[in-house]
Amino acid sequence: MKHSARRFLLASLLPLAAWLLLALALHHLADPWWVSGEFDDSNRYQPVVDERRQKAMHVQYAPEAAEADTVLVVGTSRSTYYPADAYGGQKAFNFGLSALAVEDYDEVIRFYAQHRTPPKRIYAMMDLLGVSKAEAERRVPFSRYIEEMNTPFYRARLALSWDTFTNSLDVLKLNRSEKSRKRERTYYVGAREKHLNIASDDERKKLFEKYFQEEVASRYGTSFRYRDDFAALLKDLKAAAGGAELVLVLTPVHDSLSKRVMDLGRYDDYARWLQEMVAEYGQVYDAFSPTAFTAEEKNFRDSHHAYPEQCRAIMNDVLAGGGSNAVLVNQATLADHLARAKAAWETMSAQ
Amino acid sequence: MLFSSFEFLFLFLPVVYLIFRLLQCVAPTRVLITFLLLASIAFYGAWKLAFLPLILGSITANFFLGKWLAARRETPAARGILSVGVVLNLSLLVYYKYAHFITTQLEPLGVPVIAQGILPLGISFFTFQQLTYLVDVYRGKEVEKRFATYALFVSFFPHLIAGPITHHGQILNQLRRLGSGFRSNINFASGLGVFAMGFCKKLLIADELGPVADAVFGAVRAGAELATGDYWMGAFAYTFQLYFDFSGYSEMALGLGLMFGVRFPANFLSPYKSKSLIEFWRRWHMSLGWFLREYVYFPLGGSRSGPTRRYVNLFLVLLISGIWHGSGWTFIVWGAGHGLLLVVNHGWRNHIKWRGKIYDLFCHGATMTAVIAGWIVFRSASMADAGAMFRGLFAIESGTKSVVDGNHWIWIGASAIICFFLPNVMEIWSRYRPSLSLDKDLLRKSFWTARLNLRWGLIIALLLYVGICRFSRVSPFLYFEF
Repeated sequence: MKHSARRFLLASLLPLAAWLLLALALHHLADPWWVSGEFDDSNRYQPVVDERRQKAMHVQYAPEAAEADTVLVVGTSRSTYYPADAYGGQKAFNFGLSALAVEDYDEVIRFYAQHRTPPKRIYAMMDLLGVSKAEAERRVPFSRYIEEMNTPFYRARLALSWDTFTNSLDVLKLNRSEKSRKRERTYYVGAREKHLNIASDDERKKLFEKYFQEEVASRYGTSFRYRDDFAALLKDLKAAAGGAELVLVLTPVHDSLSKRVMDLGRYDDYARWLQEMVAEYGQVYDAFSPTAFTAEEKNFRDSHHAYPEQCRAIMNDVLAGGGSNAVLVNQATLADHLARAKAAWETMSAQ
Repeated sequence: MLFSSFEFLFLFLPVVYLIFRLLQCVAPTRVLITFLLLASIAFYGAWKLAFLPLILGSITANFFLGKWLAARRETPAARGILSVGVVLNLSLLVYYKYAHFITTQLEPLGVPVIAQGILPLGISFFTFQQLTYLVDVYRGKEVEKRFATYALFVSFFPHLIAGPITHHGQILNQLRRLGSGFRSNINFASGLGVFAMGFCKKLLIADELGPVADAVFGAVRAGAELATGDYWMGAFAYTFQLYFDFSGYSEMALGLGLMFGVRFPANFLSPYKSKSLIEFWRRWHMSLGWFLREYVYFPLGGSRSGPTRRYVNLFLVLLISGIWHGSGWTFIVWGAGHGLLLVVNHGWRNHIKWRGKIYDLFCHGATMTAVIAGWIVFRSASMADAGAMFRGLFAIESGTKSVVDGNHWIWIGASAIICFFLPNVMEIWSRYRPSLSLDKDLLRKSFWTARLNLRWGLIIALLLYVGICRFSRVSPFLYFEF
C-alpha cells in the first residue's frame, strides 16, 4: 500500500510539474502579455488578444529602453493604428486602447508616468463618441485592469493560465509563418495585419455598410447625449499631463460617416465639443471635419479607422503646426472653421 | 487566502506540509500542534490581520470558560458559567452578523441603525464549534487541558473559514495523535486526490456558472425584464454554482485535513440525488445539520413530545438554519419555507404508501423543484427581487432582453449529469475513508473507485492542471459570506 501511494504521488505530481514548467517556458518564449522588453524571432509579431492588459503589462513590467520614449499617444482604437515612428523622429509609445473612455485618459497618462520616464509630449486623440454619456456608461474602466494587475501573484497566475498557454502557441505559430518578413514589433501587429490584408473595394464597402447599419444610428442617434462634465474632464487631463505638452487631435473618419452623424443632428454637439476643447487648451488639430483626407475612401479600412500608413499624413500636419489634413483650430479661427465644416456637411447632405 | 489561490497552493501548503512532515520525524506532538496552530493563525491573518485578535480572543475566552466550567461542573454555578459562555459567543455573532439587519428593522421605533461592517471570516463556524464544546464540558463529556490543542481544534486552517463544523469529540483525539505519522503517505496521497476533485469542482464548474447567475440576478436587481430563458438559466446556474462551490470547498477542506492526518466529517453526499427534502437535509451541509440536530432539535425535545411538537421543532431548526446563513428576510423566508416543506414531507411520508420507479422520479422532481425555488429566494437581494424572478420564470413579467449566452446551457447540462448520475467524491474515494464515519445507507457503491495507482495519479495530475489553468479568474467561495 505504501508503495502504491508513492507511485500515485509520483504519477500525479511529476507530470503536473512538467506540464507547468512547459507552460512557463512557452510563456517565456512567446511573451504573449508583452512583459519582456526583448524580442526575437519567436515573439517579434504579436496578436492583440487584450490590448488593455497587454499594453498595461508592458508599461508596468517590461524594462524601459535605454533611450526612453518621449511621446505618448492616448486614445481609442482610432489612434491605435498610428505608427510608432510617425512623430518626427521622437520615440513614441502608442497607448491607444479600444473604446477607451475620455475619463480614463488621465488615468492612462498617470499610469504611464508612474512606471516610465514621463513623456515630453502627449497626443490625446479625441473622437466624438467620447462626449456621449451613453458610451461612457458602457466603458471598460482601465482601473479594473490596474487593480487586477496589482493583486498578489498576478503575473504568476496569468503565466499558468490556459489563455496564456494558447496565446503563447498562437504567437509561436504566427512568428514561424512571418519569419521571412522584416518588420519591427509594433504591439499592434495583429490589427495592422488585418488592415493591410484588406485590399479590395468590395471588402471595404462591406465594412463601411456594416458600421452604418449596425452602429451609427444606435451610437450617434437619439441615445447620444452630450456629457456635461466634458469640460471638467479636459481639466483633469491637463492636470494628469503634468509638465508634458498636451496636444489634442480629433481623429479622422470618412466623410460618408461624418455626414451620417451630422444628419442625425450631431452638428451642435460637434461645435460644442470643439469650443470646449479650444476654450481649455487654446487650440486643437481637427482631422474629423471634411478634408481631402476624409474624402478618400482608400485612406480608411472601415469608415472610422484610417490605415496606419495614411495616418502619417495626419501626424505630418500636426507636427507642422496644421495643414490641410489636420486643421489647426484656435479661438481666432474657430468660428470660420465651424462655418466651413457646417457648409461642407450641408453640401454633402444636399447631394 | 483561498484554497484555490496561487499563494495557498504553491507557497503556504507546500511549506507548511514539508515542515510538518519534518517535525513529525523529529519533534513531539505538542510541537506539531503548536506549529500547525501558528500556521493556522498565519492563514487567518493573511485575510485580515485586524480580525486576528477577535478570533484569538474568542478562542482564549472559551478555553478558560471551559476550564472554569469543568472545575465547577457539579456546582450550581456551572449553569451560570455556561450561560455566560453562550451569551458571549452569540453576542459576538449577533453583533457582527445581525446587528445591522435587526437595527434596520427597529429603526421605525427610533433605534439607531448600526452600520454593516465586515463580517469576520468563519465567525459562524468557529462560534458554533466553541458552543458545542462548552455545552459538552457542561454535560461532562469533554475537557481539553492544553490550550494549543484546543486552539488548533477551533482554528485548524482546513476547516476554519467555511467548515465543515467539527465536533471536539471527533477532532481532539486525532490532534493528540498527530505525531504518530501513521499511514502518512496514504493519507497525503488520498487527501491530494480528494482536494484535486474539490479544486476542480470549484474552479472548473462553480466559477464558470457564477457569472451567469450574477448576470441574471444582477439584472433583476437593476429592474430589467429579461427573456424567460434567462430567468431559468439564472435559477439553474445558481443551483449548481452553490453546490459545486460549497461542496468543492468542503472536499478541499477534507482533502487538506487528510493530508495532515486529520479526518473531518463529510459535508455533502450528492444532495441533488435526494428523493425527498428529508433526504436532502441529510445530504446537504451535513455538519450544520448535525449541529442543529444535536444542539437545537434534541434540546427542544426532538420527537419525544408527540408529532405536533416534533413538527414545530423541525420547523424551528430549519428556521434557525436560515437565520444562520445570513441576516435578511430572504434567508428567514428560505429557512421557514424549507421548515414548512419538511413538515409536509414528514406528513406525506407517513401517509402515502405509493412506491416504485415512477414515484421515485416524481419525488426527485418535486424535491428539486422545492430546492431550486428555495435557492432563488436565498440568492435574491430582497423578497421583491425573488418575486420578480418567479414572475419571470413563468413569463408573467418578462421581456426580450438577454444578459447571458445560450452556450451556458451546456455547462448547466453537464453539471446536472454530474449531480444526478455520477458518484460523489466521498464514494469515489471511499476505499481510503476520506471522512469520518458516514451513514451507510447514504453511500452508494460507486462504479468509479479511486485507487492509489498510476492511472489515478495521472487523472489527479490532469484535474490539478485544469484547475491551475483557471487561477487567473478565481473568485471567492460563496460560503465565506455566511
